[in-house]
Amino acid sequence: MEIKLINVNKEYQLGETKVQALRNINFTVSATDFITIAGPSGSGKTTLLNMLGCIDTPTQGSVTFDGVASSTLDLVAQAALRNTKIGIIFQAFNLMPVLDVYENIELPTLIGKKPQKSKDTREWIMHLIEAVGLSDRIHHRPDQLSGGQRQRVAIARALVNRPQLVLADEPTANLDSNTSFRILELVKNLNRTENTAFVFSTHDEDIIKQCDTVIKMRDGAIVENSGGVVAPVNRAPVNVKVFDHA
Amino acid sequence: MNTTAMAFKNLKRNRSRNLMQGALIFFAAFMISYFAQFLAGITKNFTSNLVELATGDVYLSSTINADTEQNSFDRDYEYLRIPADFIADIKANPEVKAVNPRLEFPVRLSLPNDTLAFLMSAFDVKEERRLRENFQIIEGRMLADDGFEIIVPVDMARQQNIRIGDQISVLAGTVDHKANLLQLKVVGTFKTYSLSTWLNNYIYTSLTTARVLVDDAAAVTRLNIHLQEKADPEMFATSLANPIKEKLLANNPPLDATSWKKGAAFFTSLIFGIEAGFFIIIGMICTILSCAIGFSIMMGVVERKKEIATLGALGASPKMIRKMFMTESILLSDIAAFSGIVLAAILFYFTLQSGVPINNPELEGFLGASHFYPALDIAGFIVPFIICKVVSANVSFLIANHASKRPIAAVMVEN
Repeated sequence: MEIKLINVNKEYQLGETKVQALRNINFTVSATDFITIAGPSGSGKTTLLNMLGCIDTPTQGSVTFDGVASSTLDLVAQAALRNTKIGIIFQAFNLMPVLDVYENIELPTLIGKKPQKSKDTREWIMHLIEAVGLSDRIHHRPDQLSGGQRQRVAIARALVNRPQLVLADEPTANLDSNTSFRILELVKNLNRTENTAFVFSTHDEDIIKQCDTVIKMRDGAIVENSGGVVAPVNRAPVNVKVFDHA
Repeated sequence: MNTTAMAFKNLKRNRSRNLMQGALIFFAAFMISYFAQFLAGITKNFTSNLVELATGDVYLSSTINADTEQNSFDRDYEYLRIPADFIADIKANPEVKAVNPRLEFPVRLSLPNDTLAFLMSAFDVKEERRLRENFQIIEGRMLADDGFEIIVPVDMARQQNIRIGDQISVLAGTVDHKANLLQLKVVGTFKTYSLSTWLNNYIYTSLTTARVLVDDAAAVTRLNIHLQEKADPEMFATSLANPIKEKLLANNPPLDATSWKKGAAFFTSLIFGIEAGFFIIIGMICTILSCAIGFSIMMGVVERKKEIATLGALGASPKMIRKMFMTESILLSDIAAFSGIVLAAILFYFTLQSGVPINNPELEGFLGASHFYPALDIAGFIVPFIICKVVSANVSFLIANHASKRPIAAVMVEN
């Protein structure tokens, strides 16, 4: 799997003001990558994740999935791509309020029309529930869970279809260190065994330390890419913090 | 994705909004199906009353004067002489159920203080059971077949101070254009159950007595022919043209056979008007229903746009999202419409048992009956169910289609 962002720019129109959310972004995500996107609020982290997740399209430039530009895919093909190859963990969890923990995690498999009663699928869902520490909350609905528990459901849901790429917006923000550790173990294991690439936007030093690549963003541009070359940006220099990771 | 199970859960979650939407569908289905039974009742009652009590399926009478006369209710009939063998021939036709001669003619009644011009109608009291039973005898009794008797409308009896047992002198023109006078005994006062605006304009006597009064044993003004159910009145009327020409025209004024519909333009246009009104009401109900369902679904979409975007982000195609909303909408529509139709069916059953008493004289005159009975119309139960389903499906499709195609990222940002 290879995702390439080539000269990606994204502009939003806010009333009469144009907002440049992404500026000339170039980088590649390959299988087994473990990438962190860091940057202050409004720096374009979420927009970049949306581009990678195929839920937003660039104003200029292209995003290609295994050589196919996402803009050339129709809505159905894009949906299928998101369902089978990408797992997304939203900052606000975005769980289905009418479904319980098990059903929320199961949802992407049902959307993808995988055999619902498959023993493997059930075992995998149960494994994920156990891994995120929600075995005793399996039939609870989101409104009966704490913020941290909801986030764990969202994480398990993103992993259920064994995607090639998992995108996460602040995935461990609401978790205690013990659960964060367990989840990191789980995703690291998936990263190694299933060749799943992970791209996080986070401030969590523990995650940052375990990532192969750290991409630092500011004002919509990549100002540092510890795993590759930073694309030239025609703008005033900004202070860059160099992340210390093993 | 098991959209039905999810739809049930969503319906339960958004209980108050769905209850409102369901109540609207319930009301619409109930109204349409219940009033469809009423419309069927109006049509059936009118048709049945008109054919059974007034004209038969086909009637023989003097030719209508198109310049001065409108229809079978509003015209003058001339005396006809119809021989018994002609009637026997008609009766022998397998398409014919019954043949009923009627005599309707103007008379003068000599009352103690006044002389009154009125219309007299005569029928075969023994043979015409349906007409006999249509009279609600208020005082006294029904006519005997062979007595020199009359029954009079109760309102007329009150106005003219006519009492049971009174002997009234009745003067009438005979078939041979002479005058004849008979003393007839008042044996009853009546109201009519059906077609009262028309039937209440007559005093009634037996056919035997009327024929004595007009001095002709074969006299009729209208020969009502009742056909078997499958027979076509138009065809039958046409088939009588030759026998009329051969056997009757020589001894009679111009006459012809007319199907009941031709002679009841007023009635058929009235039914058409009622049906048109009914469909306009259905149209209005559907429009209001569409707007209400649309508004309700739109509210649901606005409330759940984050959910729609999430489903999209998880890989649900626009078609799948549409299906989810449509399933919810159709499920709600089916449950509500079915409940409305069941209530309409129950109410229809009870209305059928008791009838709807009509106390307003104008309405009674308009409907031609003192009690109104709806009639079973199966389509009237099925069509509202389909209407509600189609309206719900289409409105939810349009709104969900729009919602499912909105850019996911933009919706996420809005939230």
